Amino acid sequence: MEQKQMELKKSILLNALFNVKKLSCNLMRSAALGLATSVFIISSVQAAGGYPLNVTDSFGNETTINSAKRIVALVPSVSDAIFGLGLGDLVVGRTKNAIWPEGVIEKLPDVGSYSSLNVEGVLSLNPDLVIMPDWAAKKEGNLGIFEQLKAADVDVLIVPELARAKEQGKYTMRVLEEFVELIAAALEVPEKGHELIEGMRLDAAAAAKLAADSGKHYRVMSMLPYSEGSTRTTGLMKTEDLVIRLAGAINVGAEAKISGEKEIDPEAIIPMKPDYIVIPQKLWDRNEDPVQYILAIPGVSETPAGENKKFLTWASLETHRASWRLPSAAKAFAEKLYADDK
Amino acid sequence: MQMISDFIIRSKSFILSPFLGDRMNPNKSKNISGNIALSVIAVMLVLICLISVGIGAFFIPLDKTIAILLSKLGIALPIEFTSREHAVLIAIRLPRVVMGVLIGGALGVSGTVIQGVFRNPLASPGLIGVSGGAAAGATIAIVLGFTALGIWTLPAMAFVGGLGTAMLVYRFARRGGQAEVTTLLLVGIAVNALMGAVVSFLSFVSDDAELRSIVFWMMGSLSASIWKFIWVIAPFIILSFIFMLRYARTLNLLALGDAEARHLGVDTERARLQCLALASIATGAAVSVAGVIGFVGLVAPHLFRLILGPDHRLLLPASAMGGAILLVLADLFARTVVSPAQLPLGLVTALVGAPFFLYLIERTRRDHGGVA
Repeated sequence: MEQKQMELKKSILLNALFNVKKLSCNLMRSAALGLATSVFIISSVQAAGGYPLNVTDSFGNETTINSAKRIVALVPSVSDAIFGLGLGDLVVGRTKNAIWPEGVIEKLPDVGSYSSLNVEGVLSLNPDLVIMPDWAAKKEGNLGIFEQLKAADVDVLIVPELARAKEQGKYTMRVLEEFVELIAAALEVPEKGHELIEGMRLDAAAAAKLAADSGKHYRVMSMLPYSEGSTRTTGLMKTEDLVIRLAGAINVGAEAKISGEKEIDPEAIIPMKPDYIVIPQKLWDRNEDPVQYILAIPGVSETPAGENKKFLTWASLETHRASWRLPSAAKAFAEKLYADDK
Repeated sequence: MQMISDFIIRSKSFILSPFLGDRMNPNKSKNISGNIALSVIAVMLVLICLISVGIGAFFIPLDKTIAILLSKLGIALPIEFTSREHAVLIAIRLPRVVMGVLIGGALGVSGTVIQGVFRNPLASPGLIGVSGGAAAGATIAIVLGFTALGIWTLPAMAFVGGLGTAMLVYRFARRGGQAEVTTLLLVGIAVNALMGAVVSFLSFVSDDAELRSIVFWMMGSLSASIWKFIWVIAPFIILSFIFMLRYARTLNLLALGDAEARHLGVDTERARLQCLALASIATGAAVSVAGVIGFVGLVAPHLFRLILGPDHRLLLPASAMGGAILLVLADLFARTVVSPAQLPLGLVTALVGAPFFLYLIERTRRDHGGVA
């Protein structure tokens, strides 16, 4: 375990220093596939040269983008990426939980959350391009949306998220990078995409450096104490897991083979032996005495985190999405995590 | 299997007989006022559909809306419209309204039939396990990632789950060729709880995306309305509706009580089985594409029983049209009030339906000292 952690840190550092794509992330099981995809995206951009543009979407399907002047982002990570690429003016619609950039995003029309989407509402914003994540396009629940958008002659781009992470066994930097690369290619700003990715790698490296300097391998539990008697934790297949790993720590939920966000038996918290418990800032603020509240959760007081009152918070809307801003959230988390070790 | 073959043999004789088999009814005056009431409801339904087609998040001026609709009928007006306006109206909004009519109608008429069969005002299609079973079928398809039938996988699994569960409930409740109403209701509650547990377990093992699909499905929605789905569910709903109309008199006789109905020549067991099968098919088809939409099947029958009285010959067509009106209105509200987003449809029907239902109970209690 320790060796693996060291390897992780080393790789992230190397990345930032040498910017070698091949070493981009040794967490990734299928580096070759990812590389092939990105090379393909770049080459197809060069071949097409201007709109209409052909790109290969997350499912490996050729997608034609006729124009991208009015974009509706069907998940917050997509609006994050477009604004990050400096093309925020193109976004004409966003989803409920999009929070960045603050002061700008709130003014854009809200098309709801993905599970309550109204196609006509999306079309009322007159988009020429709608960008949606792979899991949304794959699952049957709202499948009508894809067909209905196509029927109204709107181009739809499917970007890699949860379904891609599942292929890889967990969320990795590579998934986030492919996400940015694809959107940058579709918007004809591949260089901007590379800049953004550089920044992401620097943040990841900074987080890894904090971990390396401290020499610690903390065991972290991401906890959602919604109410008394209902405590949930986040394991694999959640972006929070990547945040913890980027910060050089061990996600005890993932170690216990929990996938997604699951309710846990309070007794099961004890053998997980978390050194730190991190909870969403919102839940923290909800309590007058949050420390006592967390300590009162059965099992917590029997863990190292409970004994030493090592409780942290993070902004869950930042850590809860596969956005390019996730490494920066990881860096912020690492700063909190190793604050006592300086 | 026995159920189905019984049903087919029995129903054949009906197809050939006239549409409504009560032409010999001596109670003419009732029929005339009843027909007027039905016409009024039909006109209301048409008006509400037209309004609903005319309003939406994507603004299309009224003249263009008319021009697009008429152009579909082959009449060209000298009014220009864009291809996107055409697509929104024809591919998105119109199927949504048509779907609302079909599903609201199916839920309304099934509710009336099931309440009639059980002589119980609390009965609804959900009670015999159709909705619960359909939800379990759909959830299994979502979480286990079945894709064998492509876009049809989910509706097919839901339909099979709904019908299968209703059959299971009936088989369990049946003893010595008889299914006691109380036993049937109790078995329905137990089997529904079991299906609920299946859904809960699968939600637990699902990932984020799957969970969202499950929630979307459990809340009910007409937003996946595409013509392809309509062409498939319409025959199930329309045919079962026509057959249900054939049982209007039988349901009237059943209201007298099982023994009395038997004395009047009704094979109560068989009639009950066939009515349940028809209601299950209609509800199963509705739930398979729109998810679980509560209250329409419960409220529509009560509403029209209060207005039109207990005669099923009026009540069945009225509650079908009334269910359609309720659902189209609820969907209009759901998709316009927070536009460009939308409210879950099940939320709107429950929000309107539950207080209304309480009002009905209160009113009935005041007038008659008891419900039903």
